[in-house]
Amino acid sequence: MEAITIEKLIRKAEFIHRGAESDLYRVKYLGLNAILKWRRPKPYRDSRLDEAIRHRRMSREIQLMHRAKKAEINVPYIYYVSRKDAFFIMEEIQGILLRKYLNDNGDWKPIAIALGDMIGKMHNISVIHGDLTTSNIIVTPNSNLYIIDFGLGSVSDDIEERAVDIELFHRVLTSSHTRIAKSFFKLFINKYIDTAVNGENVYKRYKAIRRMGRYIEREKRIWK
Amino acid sequence: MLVLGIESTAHTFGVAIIDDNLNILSDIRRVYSPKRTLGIDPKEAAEHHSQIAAYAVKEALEKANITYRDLSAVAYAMGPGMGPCLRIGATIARFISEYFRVPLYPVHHGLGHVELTSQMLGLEDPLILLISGGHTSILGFSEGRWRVYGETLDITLGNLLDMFAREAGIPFPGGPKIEELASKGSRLIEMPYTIKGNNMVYSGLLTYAISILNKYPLEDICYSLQETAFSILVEATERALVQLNKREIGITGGVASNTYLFNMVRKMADEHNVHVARLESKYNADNAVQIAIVGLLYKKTGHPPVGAEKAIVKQRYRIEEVEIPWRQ
Repeated sequence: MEAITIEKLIRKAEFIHRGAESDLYRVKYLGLNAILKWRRPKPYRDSRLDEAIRHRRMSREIQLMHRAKKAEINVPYIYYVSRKDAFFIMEEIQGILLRKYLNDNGDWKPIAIALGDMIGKMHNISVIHGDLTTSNIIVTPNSNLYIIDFGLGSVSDDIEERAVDIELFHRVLTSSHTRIAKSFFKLFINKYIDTAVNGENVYKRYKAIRRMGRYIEREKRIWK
Repeated sequence: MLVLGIESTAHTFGVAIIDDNLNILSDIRRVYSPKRTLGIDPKEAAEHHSQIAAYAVKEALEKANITYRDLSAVAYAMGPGMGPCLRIGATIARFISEYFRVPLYPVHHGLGHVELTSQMLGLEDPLILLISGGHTSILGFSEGRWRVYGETLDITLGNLLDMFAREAGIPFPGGPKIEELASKGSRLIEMPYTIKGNNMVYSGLLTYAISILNKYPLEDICYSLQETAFSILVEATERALVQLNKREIGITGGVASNTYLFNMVRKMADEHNVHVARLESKYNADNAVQIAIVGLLYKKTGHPPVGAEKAIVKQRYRIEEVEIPWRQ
């Protein structure tokens, strides 16, 4: 079979999004509606460093998606992977990003609970997402959730790593969805603690991490 | 309307006077340079500040050709910073306020960097990179405050460069010299590249760079150190930029003077058609104009001043704690 190169593919493809890390295109793959995710080279960093990072991130993303899929956590199916050009093709999920869903005042209470359950399950199979933001979760028309963008993820049973996932998610809630942040997080974390093995310890560690930033007052700090 | 600002968070004791059109009437700076140590000794710095403080204030007034009675407000850096240094500035500010009955405003030092850069460059709703010896944060304004969208979890970029420089025998401040050495390096040495969500982790990188000091040419180590540390920061910045959909980036703080880093941010931003700006170097370094400008903004928006008994210092003080009445 002839190798699929990125140049050939994106010429015919519909460009849909430029993210921080990668570009997304809508393509047809074996007649299926699909999304092509390309980690394009970053002009700002040394090309040697850049290439190493892009390859590492893509391999990791594929491995983690595969792991999640096997545990029946909603992630897109992977159709094709090109290691050489650091891109892959996956199933297209119909829906909107959680970020937009929340900004459009969607019914967030059941979503918060479902997400807590989903992240709990994900952590139970040792998958750390690494970039758990409201832009990396898709809400389908039936209110199912899909997780995407595992490029910064890892496999770990470490409480700390899980807590970092939770801390980032909390930070995104408070900074981008300030009004509902508190109630959303409460529903989310309660369900998470229910589902996740060691959830209570993750929560404790998360609270400690929040005190790690700079210039936290001494009595609230973790380092004395 | 004339506002006098006092900066004394670390090595710089500064006094500046500005008017309400942001004209700088005077900008006096007295920088302590370490004598016995390789970095700042807070007690020694405070001693330096206390000896020159009165003269610096006098000089600022003379240069602006005004007297204490002409002042509409006095602002001082409340924190974050080194306690002994902060207390010198606060003491002088309290005195001026009480004796001449001038409204007094405590100011967050980092906020000074942020507002000076935004106001002087006319940035309306920027993503701000605050990078210095005290901060490494990615900031954006939202719902009444400057919010932190990413920051270092351990040491700052300024710490990283200063501490590496100290170990490598490069005199303080090490940043400019490291930039120069790096420009002559070409070999990329693999170093720890740690990014946790939008947050940076630099201490492992510092330890590693120090551990290979005698194994590679210093130019190559400097090149790789900068390349790795800055790539981590630019990557986190790009993520925040996309997430918040901002159209402009302002870079501020002492490390903003690093042109290699500035160009890296610009190359990243070009891909998103986002404008990047910074002030000239002297306004990225700690100065009192940045304190005066925040004082002016408080005064203009009718924010209540504090009495001398509440004019304290806070060594640890996060920018998110500060309510911003002058932004929507």
